[in-house]
Amino acid sequence: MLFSTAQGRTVIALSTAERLGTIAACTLAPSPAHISSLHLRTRGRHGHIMLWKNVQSFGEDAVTIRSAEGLKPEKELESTEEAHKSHDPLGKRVLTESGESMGIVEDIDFDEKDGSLRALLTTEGKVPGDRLMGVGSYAVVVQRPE
Amino acid sequence: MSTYLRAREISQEPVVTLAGEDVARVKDVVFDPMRGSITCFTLSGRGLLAGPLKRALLWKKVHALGPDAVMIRDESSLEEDDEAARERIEAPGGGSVIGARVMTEEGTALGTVNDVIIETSGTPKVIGYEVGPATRTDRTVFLPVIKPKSVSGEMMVVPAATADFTAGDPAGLPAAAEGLRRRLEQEA
Repeated sequence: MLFSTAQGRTVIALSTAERLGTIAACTLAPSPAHISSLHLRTRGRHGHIMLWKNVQSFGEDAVTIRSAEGLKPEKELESTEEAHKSHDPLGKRVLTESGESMGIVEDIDFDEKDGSLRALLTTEGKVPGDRLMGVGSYAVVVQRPE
Repeated sequence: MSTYLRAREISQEPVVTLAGEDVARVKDVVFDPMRGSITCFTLSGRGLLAGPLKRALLWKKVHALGPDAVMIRDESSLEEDDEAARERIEAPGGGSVIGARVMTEEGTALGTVNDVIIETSGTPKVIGYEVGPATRTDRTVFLPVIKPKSVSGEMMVVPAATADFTAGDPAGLPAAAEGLRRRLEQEA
């Protein structure tokens, strides 16, 4: 699934049948490459984050989680945490580990069942997800193509 | 595939960890002109207006040198201080080849070093210098440099035969260097 099609999808808490917010962004972590967290647009000024492991089901109309307890205000995150927004890949430049630029990340393709990253879609083409080495505040670093 | 980088292009390149964080920017590339190798980088802080960063990056700690970034494993790849860089800059000819005059053993000035050309396939190696107009020729040429005789901050003395093996662009340097190497072997 493309992340762009998941953006805006409603997140629902199963225990309380509440709408918690909508999906706005995500963060990626390497080895193995996967979505580590989803960032939600919620009521109020600040967004909330939710670790991927809290996702119950990524449905066609809504994403369900067990309860709202899995949510954490975005501003409470330390920059060292995996879910920190510095690990958001969208719009970021891509560098190979040999220091060559490979475009900008426009979208990501992921498996909605387990959150694993299938591919990064960049302005210069598709990069298989298993090449991801890291996402930082400056760039998304990938292994060089063979 | 061979790729060529100029020392001037490398300065200002970001230093990026494999986790994608930029930790510094390259200020200067420090060479060992006698060996034709890069020894270290001096750094400045991120951002264009940032001042010098008092930490050096030794060549052996570099993961890769690319056209768009210098890659390092993580922030601990930087030295705690810039002592190491200072030592190397103070070595004869260290750091300041740009601006040095190139002189043959026979006393012919070939021009002034404008830039250093580095080949980056495999271990980066200095393969030559872009040399600005000498008094007589009035054009920019690329000089292969193998085994300079001696180097100081103001001058680099090269074998006389070097003048016969100039190239018009960086891509012509390996061939020029090969020709020069053969000539030097014959002369020896």
